[in-house]
Amino acid sequence: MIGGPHPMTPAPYRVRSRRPDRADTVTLTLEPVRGDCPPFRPGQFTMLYAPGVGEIAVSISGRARSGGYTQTIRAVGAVSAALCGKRPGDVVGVRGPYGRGWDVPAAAGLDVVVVAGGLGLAPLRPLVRALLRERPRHGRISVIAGSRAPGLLLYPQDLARWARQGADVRVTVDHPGHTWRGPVGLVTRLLDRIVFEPRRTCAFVCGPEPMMRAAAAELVRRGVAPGRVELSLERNMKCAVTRCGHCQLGPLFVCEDGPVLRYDRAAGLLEVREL
Amino acid sequence: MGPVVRERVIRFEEVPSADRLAGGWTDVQEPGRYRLAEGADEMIFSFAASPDSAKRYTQPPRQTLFRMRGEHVEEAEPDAPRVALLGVRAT
Repeated sequence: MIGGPHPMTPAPYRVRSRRPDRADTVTLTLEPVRGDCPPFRPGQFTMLYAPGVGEIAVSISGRARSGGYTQTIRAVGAVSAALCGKRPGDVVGVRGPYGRGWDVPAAAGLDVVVVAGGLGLAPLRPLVRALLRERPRHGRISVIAGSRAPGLLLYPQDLARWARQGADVRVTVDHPGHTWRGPVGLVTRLLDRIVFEPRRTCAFVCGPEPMMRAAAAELVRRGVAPGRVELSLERNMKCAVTRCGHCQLGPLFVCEDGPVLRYDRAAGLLEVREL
Repeated sequence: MGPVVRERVIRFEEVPSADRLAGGWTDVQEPGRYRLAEGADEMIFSFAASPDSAKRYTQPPRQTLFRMRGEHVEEAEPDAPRVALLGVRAT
């Protein structure tokens, strides 16, 4: 077709592998039926199309050894449930990658604090991998992950590997059950337990929005510059190419200006004023 | 497409022939009120904005973008029939 494919037309990708992470969450490895996967930056997302059902935005959680994308999906609606039900060999549609990712180069020479809540660890996973690949370029690397319950923790093997590679990895849960002996409560409480020099620190935060607001505010209160705190926002992305306006947040299109935004830019937009 | 009287309203829809245009009709509109009325003459376009809009034709609310069967993705040809719009009102 002259001028290339239409921006709303997906490319066919085959499901190479499917790994159940939790009862309602799977990680799919997707490879293009033809050609190579376009490169992506940590924090970017693709639009995944379940044929005959619909399309949703999903963060890229890593690149597989085979070159494909790994994408972690939780079944919360018709499209995400259809995608979670895909098996190796099935074909889905993929558009992207899209959006502004984490500013990894800005972390050079600084302490790094990564704060994840629940599925928010998915877009942070390629970031942590990139940081640890160039471990000597950074100061202390701390990863704080929150989960509703120990059995719902995402990527436990990755967390253990990152700890072995030199990251200070801390996990907290809301509901500990009978076997959990670790921290219980909000991720912000774990900021007391990690070591970082606030004036030489950058932070990357992703999770439920109240958690992100609280974590970012606490980091800033401790002296981290708001411009060095980045958040990944989740909005209702439909077209992903700034045409539909569904993801508009104030003057921003989250699909293009985000999903990763610096806190100094996002803070005012996340305020919920009393009615 | 043009103004046609249907169900006591001047609608914007397909005109099968020129004598179906809303000649001799007008409308009386006030906040919360719409009434069809006989015009003083045979003017065809003597009405204010109808409940319909030309936007339905210039920017269709639904459009087929592609069809995907297995690993084959086929882009849909734009469905743009030749349409003449008569008596379009700005709002």
